Amino acid sequence: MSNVVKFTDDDDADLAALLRSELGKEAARVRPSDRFETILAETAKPARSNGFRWLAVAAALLLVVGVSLPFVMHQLNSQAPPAQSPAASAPMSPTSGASLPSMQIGLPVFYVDPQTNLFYQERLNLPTQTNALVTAVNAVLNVVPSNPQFVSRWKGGTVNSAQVVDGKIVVNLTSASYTALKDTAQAKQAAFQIYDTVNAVLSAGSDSLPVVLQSDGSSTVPLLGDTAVAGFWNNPPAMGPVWISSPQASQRIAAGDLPFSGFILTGNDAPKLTITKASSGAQVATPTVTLGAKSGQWQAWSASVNLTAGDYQAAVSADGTEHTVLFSVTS
Amino acid sequence: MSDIDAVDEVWLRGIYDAAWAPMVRLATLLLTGSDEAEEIVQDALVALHRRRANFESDAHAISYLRASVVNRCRSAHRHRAVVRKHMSVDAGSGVEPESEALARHRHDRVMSAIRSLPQRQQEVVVLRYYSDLSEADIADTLGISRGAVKSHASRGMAALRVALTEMLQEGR
Repeated sequence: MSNVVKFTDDDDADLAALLRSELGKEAARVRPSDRFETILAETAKPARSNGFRWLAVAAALLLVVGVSLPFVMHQLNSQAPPAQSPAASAPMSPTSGASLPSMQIGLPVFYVDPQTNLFYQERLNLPTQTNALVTAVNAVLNVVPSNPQFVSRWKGGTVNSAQVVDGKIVVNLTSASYTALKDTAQAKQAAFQIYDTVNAVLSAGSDSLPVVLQSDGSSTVPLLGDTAVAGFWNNPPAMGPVWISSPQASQRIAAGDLPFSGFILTGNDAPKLTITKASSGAQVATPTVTLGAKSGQWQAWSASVNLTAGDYQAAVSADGTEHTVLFSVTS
Repeated sequence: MSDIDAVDEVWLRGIYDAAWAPMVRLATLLLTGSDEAEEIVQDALVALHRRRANFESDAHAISYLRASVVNRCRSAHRHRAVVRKHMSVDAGSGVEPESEALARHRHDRVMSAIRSLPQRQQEVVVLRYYSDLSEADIADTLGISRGAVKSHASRGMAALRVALTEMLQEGR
């Protein structure tokens, strides 16, 4: 069987030829300087603080080569009670025991939809770094979200430590981690990405712990000041009103009757779920969505669809917003 | 220099010779700024060297390097101001014959159309039509499913066809 993949340029030969030609010309204008000696000298230095960033990128790659555990995740999701906030919907517990697992499975990490500034959660499988809190915060800083709709407000960085101290979650980042934050509004969103993530990791629910951000040990951090002051964590950014917890973006799952689940803010009607073919956009199914248990302002939803092998998009919509997930079904 | 250092240098030299220029060009296409592109590829190569024991082959290392470069470009792109002055200085200087002016106009329109795409679609288009990667390789590079690659490619091509309709019709 041929491994040649038919791309859309089968139907767009003239456009494909034009793109190849002009991209080639653009690339040919670039004359890279010779930096071999500089690179060689850099390799002789001790590892810099961005070493973890590379590890995090590797972790993101691991996600797409099959490390994820689709049905384990579904089971985790379905067993987890809907919580006061989506941040608390995570079933994970902190990794504080003496024996650390080599991978953190389904670690909740919060990202931002830049179009709406609403927050959404992704579940990531990542190699453990010191503990679950450090692993999750490192992901917030360094791992690109699976869903291309989302972004992290952090550009990258390094976690010195993240731990619970006297009823507060103290997150100490290197000062360089803050340099990418350009204004107070963006910094606030970045701070709440960490706040929501670490509380979700601890399954704090409605008993969210206050978070203290530090910059190389200093409690006064750029653009944000002292995050330990009373009221700092009031008025958090809004969560997306409806989202898909399972399947996750880029997940591969076996064909058959597939469960779909997620959460929706109470007060909304049952969300509309639409499954389409990823390549053509052709609608495959609009299954009946059943609302489940309520907890606080959130309510679980679920549906089931029989799908054969292929690449699909699931879109769940409510209250004028939509959350989409691209996933693959294998035979 | 120890024997181990010498072996490392040979390994790095091999990767550098094979990948430095293509990766800088790829980063430039994704960033529209070659100065930053060199910095990004340099950092990625240094990081790659630190993990050299993990790679089964040079091809594996270069594949990993490509993913690292694209990720770093995305991260840089997300937060930086637009950097175009390096490219535009060359583009606008001097008097040129009409045929060259037309060619430059055509080139600028195509590049502008590509750069107006959402970032993922840009990445898929550049990896497909500049780096000539397969759908599976693009999926691995971007850390997304093949279905997502198809979806981004389909949407990107549809948008480009609309943006470049006149040019495509003229070419027929």
